Parts: sequence; C-alpha cells; structure tokens
Amino acid sequence: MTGLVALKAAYTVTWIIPLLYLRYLLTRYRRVRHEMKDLKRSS
Amino acid sequence: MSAFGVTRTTLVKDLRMEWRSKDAINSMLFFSLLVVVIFSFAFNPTAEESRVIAGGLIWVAVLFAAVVALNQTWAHELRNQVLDAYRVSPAPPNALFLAKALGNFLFVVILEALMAPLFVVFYQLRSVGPLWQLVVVTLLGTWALVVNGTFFAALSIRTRSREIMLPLILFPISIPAVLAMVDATTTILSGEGTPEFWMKMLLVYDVVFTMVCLLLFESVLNAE
Amino acid sequence: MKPVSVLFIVFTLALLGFSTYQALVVAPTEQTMGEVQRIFYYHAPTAWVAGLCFFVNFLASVAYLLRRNSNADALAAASAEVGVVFCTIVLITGPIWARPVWGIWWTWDARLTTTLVLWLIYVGYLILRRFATGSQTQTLAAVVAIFGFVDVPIVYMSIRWFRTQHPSPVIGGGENSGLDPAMWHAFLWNLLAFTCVGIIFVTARYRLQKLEDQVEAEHARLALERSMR
Repeated sequence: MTGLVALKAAYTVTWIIPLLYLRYLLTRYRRVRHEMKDLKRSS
Repeated sequence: MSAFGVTRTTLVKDLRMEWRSKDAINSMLFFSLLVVVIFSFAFNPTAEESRVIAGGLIWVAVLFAAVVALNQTWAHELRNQVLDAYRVSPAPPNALFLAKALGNFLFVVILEALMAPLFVVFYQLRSVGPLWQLVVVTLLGTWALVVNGTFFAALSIRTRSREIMLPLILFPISIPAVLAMVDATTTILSGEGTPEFWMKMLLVYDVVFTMVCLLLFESVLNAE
Repeated sequence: MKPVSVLFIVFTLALLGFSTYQALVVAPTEQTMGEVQRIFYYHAPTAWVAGLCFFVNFLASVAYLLRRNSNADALAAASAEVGVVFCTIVLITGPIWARPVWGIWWTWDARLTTTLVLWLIYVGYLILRRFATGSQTQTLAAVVAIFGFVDVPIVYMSIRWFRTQHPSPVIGGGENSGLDPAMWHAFLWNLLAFTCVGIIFVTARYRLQKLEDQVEAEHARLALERSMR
C-alpha cells in the first residue's frame, strides 16, 4: 500500500463513517417521529 | 445486625451451601481443566515454550473459570427475592457485597490451590523466583478479578443475556490486572526481573476498584 | 431545525473544508514519511474528540448518579455513542497509516492498545444500554461508565510499563516525539473542525434520546392507564 493510497483511504474513511452515522441517526429520527404521530392519534 | 455481622452471616451461609453442593467448585475445576487441555492442543508447546506461556495460561484458565463462579453469585438471592428483602432492611448494602465478594474470592483461591499441582505436572513448572511473591500476586490478582466480577454480576442480573453481559463488561476493565498477573507470574517463574512494579500496580488497582465498588454498590442494589 | 443550528452546521462544514485544505495543501510535507503523514491531521484530532466525548460521558454519568437528572443520562448516552464512532475512525485510520510507513498494520504498544481497550469498554457500555431492561438502564449504564473511565489511565500505565519490560515497535514515534511548529496550524484547525462536528453529533443524538425517552414514557403512561380501567 503506497503512501498516497493510504492517505486517500484514511481521509475517505474519516468522511464515510460519520456520514453513515448521520444516516443511522436520521433513520432513528424518522422512526421516533412516526411513533409520536401514532401516539398522538391513538390518545 | 451490624455490618460485620451481616457480612459474616451471609459469608458463612454461602460457604456452607457451597460445601454441601460443591456446585461452583466442581464446575470451575472442570472448566479450567478443559481450558488448559484445549490450549495445550491449540498451541502445542514444547517444554521450553510451555514455561514461557504457563503464566498466561494459568490466568486465562482462572479468568474463565472465575466467570463461571461469578455468574451464579447472585442466583440464589434472585430466586428467593432476597435482594428485595435486603433493599427494605436497614442492613448496609456493602455488607452484602463484601460477603459475596469474599465468598467468590475463597472459591477462586481454592480453585487455584487445586490447579497449581496440575500446572506443575503438565508444564514442569519450577519457580526460580521466591514463592511468596507468587502467593502475593495470586491473592492480589484474584481479588482484582473477583471484586469487579461480583459487582458486574449484580449489575448484569437486570439485563437480558446476563451470562454474556458479565464477561463483556468485566474483561476490558480487568485488562490491567490480567496483564499484571500474567507478567508478574512469568517474571517470578523464570526468575528474570522483578515483579515489584506489578505487585504495586495490583495493589493500586485493588484499592481503587474496591473503593469504587463499595461506593456504587448501593446504586446498583436499589436500581429498580 | 432552528436557524442557529443550520448556521452552525454550515459553519462547521466550511471549517472542515478549510482545515482539510490546511492539512492537504498548506502544511509542509514531512521529511521521512512523505505525504502519508498528512493522515495525522485527521487521525489525531479524531482521537482527541473521542477522548473528549468519553470525558463528557463520565461527567454526565456522575451527574446522573448524583441528581437522577434524565438530561444528564441523555447526554451520557449521546456522548458515548459519538465517542465510539470517533474511536472507530481512529482505530481504522491508525493501521492505514501504519502499514505503508512501518510495514505493520498493528502493534500492541501503549497508545494503540489503550485506544482499543477504550473502544471495547464503551462498546460494552452501549451494549449494556441496549440489553438492560427497563428503568434501571440509566443507573447501571452510569455506573459502568464510571468504572470504564477510571480504568483507562490504569490501562495506559500498565501497558506502558509492560512495554518498557518487553519492547515492541511503537507507531507514531515514542511518547516524547514533538510536532514541527509549521504543522501545528493544520492540526489545530482540524482539531477545531472535528470538535464542532462532535458537538453537532452529540447534540443531534441527545435530542434523539430525549424524544425516544418521551415516547417510552408516553407508552408506559398509556399502558398504566389501560391497566387501571
């Protein structure tokens, strides 16, 4: 693995992982909002 | 009843129950024996190599066997709603914790005493360094494992998959203690270098975590 | 989302762009390692932010045990999760850096091993939060967090001592290797940028936790109501 390949890989990973985490957070947010709507409807 | 009285009574009761059934000791003994045999096949060490890895092997076997004992620490209390009774009684919670920890400590020390001759036979162990150092390391190291283990056993009662929860949390936190035990044991057995630093470190570890356990046990007991 | 939040996010992105430019273009090329050394400007700040998150988790856990404040618990949950995310980045970028420079992916030196143990402790914390049943989750998690945090310096010191007895390759220089002054700028800009990213994530995760706690409380209330009819 050459230096430049490693550099690109490391920087890519540092961006991808937070983006994946953001997507995970957004999914959970969507689910919570949905649940809150359901609760309001049923109460 | 005073704190000391509670500790002593609970400890004596646990020891008596264990003496009658010998459940914990038997399963621990058998399990650590299995671990030793499997590791011997996995690593297939020569006589020289055995002496190098013996330190690590002893403590890995003890660690796994201790988890077996720790997992059933609170089983009896759980089955008979003893913990609920304990919560409403004026007895200090730490007394109960100490009794359990001391009981586990005794069980594991007995296990070690029983396994020691086995290790001497399997790996032709001879201690070059002074034996009393080995005893100190063993006692300090065992307490390190047992004090945290008893605490996390109480904690994992209130979780799903409690048998896996205990080692999951215990192992990472015990890494310094295990490292100290293994390296100190290897140092003493081979006679190269001194285990002084490790003994001091184990003492510090024991003091720090015993205090943390005593401080926080009441929160765990009362967690509803 | 409030305009302040949007503004902060835009600011952070701009900051990140600027700091990355500093790291890749402005900072001088290192003599021995070459371009690959620039990984440092992402690797080290993420490590710092992870440590900061875990420290916040420790404080929030203590606060929770003292005051039983659910906000403290939400902050503890949020900071632990974000800390694990950043710690994962550290554990991946580290070996990527190590491989071309030192020829090995991993070594059991004090810093790397402590980072791994840190990761293990807090992943255990997150698993505990998921597997604990009911209302005691918060107390149990707070307790484990305190154990974990107290343990970390002990882990570091014990491995350091172990390594003075049994030396092994040390990645990234020894304990006292310093940083060239020309490189400080890039490092500090990235440290600021990643800290802002961390703040955004922790805040978002905190709000999510509060919402989920609300929903759970509402479910519990409804169940109680129904059982009383």
